[in-house]
Amino acid sequence: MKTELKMEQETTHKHIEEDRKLLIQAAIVRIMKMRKVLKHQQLVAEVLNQLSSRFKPRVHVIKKCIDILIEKEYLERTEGQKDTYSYLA
Amino acid sequence: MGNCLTCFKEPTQTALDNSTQNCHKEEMTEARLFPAPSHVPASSAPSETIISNGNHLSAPPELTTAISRFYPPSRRTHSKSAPAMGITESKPSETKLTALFDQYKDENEDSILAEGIEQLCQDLQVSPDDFKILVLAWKLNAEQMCRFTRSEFVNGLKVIRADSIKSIQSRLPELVSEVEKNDEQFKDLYRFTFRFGLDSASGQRILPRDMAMVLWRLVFTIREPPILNRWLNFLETYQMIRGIPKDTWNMFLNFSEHVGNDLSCYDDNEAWPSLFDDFVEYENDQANQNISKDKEKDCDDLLIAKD
Repeated sequence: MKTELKMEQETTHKHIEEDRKLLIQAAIVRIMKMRKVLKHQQLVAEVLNQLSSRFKPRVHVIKKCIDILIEKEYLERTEGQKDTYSYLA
Repeated sequence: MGNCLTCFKEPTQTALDNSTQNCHKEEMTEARLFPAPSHVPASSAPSETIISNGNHLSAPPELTTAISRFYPPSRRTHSKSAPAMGITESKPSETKLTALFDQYKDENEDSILAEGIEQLCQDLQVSPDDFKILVLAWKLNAEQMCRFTRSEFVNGLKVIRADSIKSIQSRLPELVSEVEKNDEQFKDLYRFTFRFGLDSASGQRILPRDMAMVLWRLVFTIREPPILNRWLNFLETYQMIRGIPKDTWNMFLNFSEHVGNDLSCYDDNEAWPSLFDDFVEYENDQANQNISKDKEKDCDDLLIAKD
């Protein structure tokens, strides 16, 4: 019985993590759409700010989400300025 | 390695691709580093064209190859006198290029495929997994590994001013040393290598880890960064990698230049791809483990000495 509960908890935990990742990505896109161009540290700060009422994302996860969005071409690194992102319409 | 690059393509690649859309074509502009030659009208149907040495293009390939080995290319161009080297100083001949292409092209497709490339490499006396072949593919702007289309081959060779086995052979080492010295060119080759490794037929966007590792080794045949071995070792051991995205590949060049051999100057609050954070953490863990092992050993030694 205990193991079943544990498994259920793990699955729920995973779902929560996945949902949070999506929320983080949505926040990033919203912020970048508004700001167009933003430095990395500022983006991270604004994401933490926007989501602060719900949860506190780990910076490492935010970075992973940025990677995902770059790969999906929502954002790109500004050429020549590795620390800045640009929104891709 | 020792295999033709074809052997690096595994059927399981597509399983790692998490995107179903076709990758859109990259702009090719950045690969054109030399001014494009003036347009040469395409030659007419092969049976009507006669090369200057009297051979018809419909001559069997073995004959043309045999002839090209006996006569240096310069004697075959009927324009201005070219020096008796392997390099055509005059405009590379379209007919020769077409003939060269036809020697290696596949029966069913208008491209040189794996078999043709192996043969081409043999004739060039270069191994198919040699760095020079990567440079050649880059100069031809080949979209996919193990395939040179007619236009890639003909136009690419025109750009590097070669139109025969011999001229390609003599140009390759020059191209290699150019790219070794020139940062911009190397960066272009480096970025090309990622696209080159993707399976464009399946619209792949993320490079599988094994392929990435092979290509990293290959492209860093020259200008190998001090951190490369540790990086590849990390990729080998760290299980949670689904593949290498383009941004991570591209940024690795910056990363390797930034850290040199010393990861202590790495700041994970900067905009590096997250995989580098994982790498640095892994390396730090390794280093810490070694320190504690040494401490244990020292303690053990002390205890033994006391007896």
